[in-house]
Amino acid sequence: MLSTVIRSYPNQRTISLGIVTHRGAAHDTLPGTTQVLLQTMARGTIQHNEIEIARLIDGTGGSLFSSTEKDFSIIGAQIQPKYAIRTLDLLFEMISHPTLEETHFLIEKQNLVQIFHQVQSNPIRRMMIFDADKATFGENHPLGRSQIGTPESLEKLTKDDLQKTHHELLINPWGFAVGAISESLHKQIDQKITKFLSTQSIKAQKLQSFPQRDVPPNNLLASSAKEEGSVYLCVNIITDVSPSTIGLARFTSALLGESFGSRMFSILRDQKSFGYIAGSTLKLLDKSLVLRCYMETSPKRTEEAINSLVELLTDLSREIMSQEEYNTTRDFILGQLDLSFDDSRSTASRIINRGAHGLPPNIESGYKEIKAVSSEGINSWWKKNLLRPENVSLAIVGDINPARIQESWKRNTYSE
Amino acid sequence: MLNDQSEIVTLDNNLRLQLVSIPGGKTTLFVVGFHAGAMYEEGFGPGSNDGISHFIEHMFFKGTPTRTTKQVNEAFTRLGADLNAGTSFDHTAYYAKVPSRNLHKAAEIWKELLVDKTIDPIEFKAEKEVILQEIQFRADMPEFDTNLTVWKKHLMGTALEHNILGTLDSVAGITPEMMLDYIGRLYAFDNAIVILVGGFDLEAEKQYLSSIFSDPIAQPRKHPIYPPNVDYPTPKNGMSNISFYKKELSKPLSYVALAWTSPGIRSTDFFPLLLLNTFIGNSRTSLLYREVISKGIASVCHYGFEALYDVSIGNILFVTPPDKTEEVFQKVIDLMVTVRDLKISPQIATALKEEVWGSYLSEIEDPSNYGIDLLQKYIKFHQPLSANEFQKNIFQISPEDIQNAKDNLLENFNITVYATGTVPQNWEPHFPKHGPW
Repeated sequence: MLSTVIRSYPNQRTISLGIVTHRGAAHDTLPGTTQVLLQTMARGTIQHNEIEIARLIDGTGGSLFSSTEKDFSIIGAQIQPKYAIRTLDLLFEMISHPTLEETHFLIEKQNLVQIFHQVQSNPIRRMMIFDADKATFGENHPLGRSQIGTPESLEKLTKDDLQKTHHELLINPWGFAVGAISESLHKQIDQKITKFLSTQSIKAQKLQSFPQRDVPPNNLLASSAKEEGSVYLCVNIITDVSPSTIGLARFTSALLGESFGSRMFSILRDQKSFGYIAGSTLKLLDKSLVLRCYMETSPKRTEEAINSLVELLTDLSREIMSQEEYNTTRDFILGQLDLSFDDSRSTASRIINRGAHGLPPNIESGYKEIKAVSSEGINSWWKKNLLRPENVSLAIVGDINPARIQESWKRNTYSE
Repeated sequence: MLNDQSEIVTLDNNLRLQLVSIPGGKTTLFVVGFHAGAMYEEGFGPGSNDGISHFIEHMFFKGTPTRTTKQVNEAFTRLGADLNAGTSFDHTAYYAKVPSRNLHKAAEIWKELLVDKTIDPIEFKAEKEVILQEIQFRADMPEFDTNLTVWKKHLMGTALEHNILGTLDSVAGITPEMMLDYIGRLYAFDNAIVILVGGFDLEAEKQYLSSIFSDPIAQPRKHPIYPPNVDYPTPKNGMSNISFYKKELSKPLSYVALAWTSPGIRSTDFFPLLLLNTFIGNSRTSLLYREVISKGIASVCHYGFEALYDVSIGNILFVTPPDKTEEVFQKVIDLMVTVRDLKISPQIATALKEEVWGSYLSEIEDPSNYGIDLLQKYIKFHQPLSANEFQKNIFQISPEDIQNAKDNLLENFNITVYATGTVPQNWEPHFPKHGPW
């Protein structure tokens, strides 16, 4: 069990610190609850009102670092080292003694409804924030729903729901502090977080298990919007997360779409000029790992784009990559790992993301994980575990003809 | 004071190098910037070069005399690089952040990219398709499109009407010859700067980079470079012009952008205005956040400000449910009046300095942001400005400096409002009788 992860990076100028809890949006009975709660918590405590909080954090050039993920939440801040201790006190106050005023609660609900409509109005955000997980897990699955809820769920949300969620928030909490941390500050931060966690009478709670995914093989989620100029598509491939799969998945994602030299970028964008966006990303969600390959194209090239993307993914199982491509990808990831220590906030995000999913919370172990990957390993993992109908789904958004897309996807889908 | 070491070198071929060494840093950002951007373009529509600066930005990494595009991309990929580029009104920037252990290998590629002045017709054609699609993609982003449109309408007839992407028509008409002409005029060494920020030994890298970029690779420019004339009409006696445009779009929210321009701010006003901007918008301490976002009447209320040659431009974009459009608009106008009447006290000035410097420190923690910030300041002031100089400039500002800069800014004022999404029927913006100022 993690208690506090403290990492010092002398090249950094700030410290990112706070608390991670294993309660996330997927635990919400009414979708959007945790998000509203975290926003409302930042609106005032029994000792500091909203303006005072803003002065203590933003007024010194810092920023709040709170966010609701599907399977965990962060309450934190990025701050200059001289304000670290004071900021921790403030964060603890926000967690333990927020005022959760009715007016703030109503405003935050209202804000979230607006944000919902904003996301809905922007097709690539709609696909990435709403549709990709829906296609992967199923529309009503806790991990398939968006963390911001819907206007309907937010409408039903009451102050009592918020209070109840606040009491449940600290599920298996742990602290983090990353950045320009001197030896003396290290001790103070450690003591402070340890004391806070112990005085909260927190008992390790058994994490709620989410139900099985509920989607048909080769699931397709198509959402048609005539007024949009581009079509956005995202193939999702899901597998289990473990220390051994994380290296394979990271390698595959880099090979497919994380750099200008990647396959998606060079084939789909540079050679075939499908559109401006082509890339891949890796997401950890509870015990799963989802690889997303996304692209954008013009409505008239939609079917061609589906064919090309599927072809590109299938290629990975057909043949083993060349030694040169293997070396390039490995060196890219190792270089990118070096880049992940530049600022405290992104270093902290990576540490939190690993720690929250049962992986060793030190990013440095990423070097070892990547060096353990072989080109044959990628090929066999991809063939045996990934391109299977139950693991693959497609989300597509834009000016499309759903029936034709259905046909096109069916022609391309994977079978046993 | 930061303990970064900084040095500026001008090579014999007129290329400037700015080196900033961060103690303990493990990565290095290379930025190559040119005084070349949308405001240097001429004409609109088919046959014009509207959008060419951005198109060239896309072509920059497309091969060198000794490497194909694929080889350039793979070479940067092998170095673990974060590679990107950006086009603005007044500059175009190319950047790559690499682990410092790969700095020399990256420098070799940059050197080749800097001297390459060729356009491969096949690559040109393929990339044109990508840019045409990018224009569609951006149009699908309502916030982006609203800002772009308000600027285009507000700055109509001036050099700033060129809104970076160009249009489907103008980009379709751009030829490789037009591109070579533009490159010949603006992509010269005496119109560029190379900035390195990160963890490296300053003295050793100065020697190495001076030698690698000093090869006789400078090409004589075909034409002299003149700062573009924005040619912005000067309003007189306060707000002389209010324009309003509206476009219905099937979206559930209302997107409203205000854009304003005032004739050039003096460079001495720049730093005081940075403080004033922090007072007005974006952070949780700002007026707009406290009075608009925090009150829940708009989910977005973004404030932007830019100083460009002989004009300063500012804008506010808000996104709100249609029935709140008027309320948010009036709130924004009330806040403008508040700013107008504001007397800057020593306490306000001190708090603003602390916030600006603190957020600058957070921002420049990542060499990518640090290098891009240095480039933007170089473009603005026509000379490099280090972080320590920035700090000095910020902390010597007096309350009177902010007050004067504010008064200069508000002296003459033109404003355009653009509303899209679901805008209430018959809604139009109403300003106080004598303008918000």
